[in-house]
Amino acid sequence: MEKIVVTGASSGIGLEIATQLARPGRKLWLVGRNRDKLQDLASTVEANGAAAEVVALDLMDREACARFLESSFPDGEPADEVYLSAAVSMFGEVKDVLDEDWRWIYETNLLSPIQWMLHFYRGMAAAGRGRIVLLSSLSAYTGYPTAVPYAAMKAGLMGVFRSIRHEGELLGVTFHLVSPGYVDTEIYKRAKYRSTSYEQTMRLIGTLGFKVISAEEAARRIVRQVGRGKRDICLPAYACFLAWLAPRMPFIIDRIHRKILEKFRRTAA
Amino acid sequence: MKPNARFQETFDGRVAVVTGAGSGIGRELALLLRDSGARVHACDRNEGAIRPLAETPSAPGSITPHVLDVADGRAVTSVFRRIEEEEGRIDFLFNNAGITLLGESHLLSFDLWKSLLDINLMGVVHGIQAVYPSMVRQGRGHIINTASVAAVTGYATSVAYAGSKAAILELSRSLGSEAEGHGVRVSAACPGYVNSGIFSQERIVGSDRDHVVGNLPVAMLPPRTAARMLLEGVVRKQREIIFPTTARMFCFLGRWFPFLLAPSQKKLIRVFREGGGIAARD
Repeated sequence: MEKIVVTGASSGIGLEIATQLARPGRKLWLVGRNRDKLQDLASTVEANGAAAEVVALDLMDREACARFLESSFPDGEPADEVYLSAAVSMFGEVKDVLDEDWRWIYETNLLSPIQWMLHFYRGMAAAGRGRIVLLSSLSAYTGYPTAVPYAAMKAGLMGVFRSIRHEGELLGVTFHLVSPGYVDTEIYKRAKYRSTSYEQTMRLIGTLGFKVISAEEAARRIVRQVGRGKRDICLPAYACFLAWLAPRMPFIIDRIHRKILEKFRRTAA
Repeated sequence: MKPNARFQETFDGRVAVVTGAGSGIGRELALLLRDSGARVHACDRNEGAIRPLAETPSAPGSITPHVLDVADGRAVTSVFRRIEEEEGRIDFLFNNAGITLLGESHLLSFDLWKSLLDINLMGVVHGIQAVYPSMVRQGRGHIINTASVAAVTGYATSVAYAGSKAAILELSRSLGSEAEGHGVRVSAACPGYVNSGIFSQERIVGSDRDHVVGNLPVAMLPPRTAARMLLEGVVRKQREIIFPTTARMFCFLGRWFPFLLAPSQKKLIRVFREGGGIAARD
């Protein structure tokens, strides 16, 4: 029985990954906050022949998470694959961002995946095999003025991946980093907005000219590329291009930054 | 040591806040800034380390020590607010406080990881939250965040550290873009190895410190040289201040041909494990 864990499974990319990974011979742990949505997903997963377990948890409650991790995946009983895709977002200039906003993004988007990654990595290292997939963002490569806390914490995750992948290789554990561009998920509806709004942000994104792909399409590419052993996964094509360009020609990215800020400030005025 | 004229031009009479000023690069920054005529507010959680910095009445500038744990957001806000009230403004914030942690990741507890991230990453965030809004209101100011070459290259056996520095680097870049429109500057310093005391045995879990530090891929810079190079980058208004030259080479490789660095990452792990053998024998 292949053991697969997916966080952020209530919606979006996590939900689609779990759906696509569901097949006989697998048990999927579906982690998220919304028990009802997870139950629906569990039905779909079971209909596809896999076993499913619903895990309704608030990732910010690290004690509850630790209890779940230690009881469901104790020493000697590691998972086979883990997809850490739970995340939240926010928009607004840093001058308007509150202290609690930074903490929220830090805890949810960086500390939580690290807590889960470490627990599963320990078990996988002891077994000499396993796969951990970290959901990051193109913005870790390019930055994102007006979403600085989000980009910063994703960059933190990327820095972790860049370093831990070498350690993992020696122990038989594979790490993957997924850096998507814009994906149509509920992350935007549930995001925090300071001095701007959901509607303004969606309108602005629309004018930038970058394709927004569906969560299902994103998940399909992720599952396929992880399956092929690709470690550094970006999608779609424009995201791969920008991820390649950003470290090498940052001045071009700076121009995109200025464009985003210009539009943001014009609508916020 | 006589500071150069360009330092004086930039820092004379200015108000500079330095975190992590009790040792290493931070301490040398505080001293150099003071010698260039700045009114320095030196912050560190180690009171014993910063009190002595205040004792030089004949220097061109001054150093006022503040005991401060940058992981405590409320304390940072309160101390920085007090400094701003007394001085009228803060011209330079050196968000420099940081610790390291070496070890094989699967053997390090989450709490160890978090304690590093709270200081290295949230410490920088706290400094920004305390100072940036008023810099924006005044349309002036310069924030310099100490990241690291490891932010670009990654660092096997120091994963939490590399992660924290990668976050700081990207934060600095994106915030710098926002800040441009408000007349505020944001820079990231990316030092290579500096003989700063950051590598103490208690921050190295499962290996022998002397073996690890004795087998670094490049020689360590003295902290005074590092501080001088950092300030030179500030004077030149660089957004990324990478030093020394070997660090610039590593950054170039890390950005253009990252796969070329894979062997050196494996070597870091190898050296660390050798040190583990030594530590186990002792």
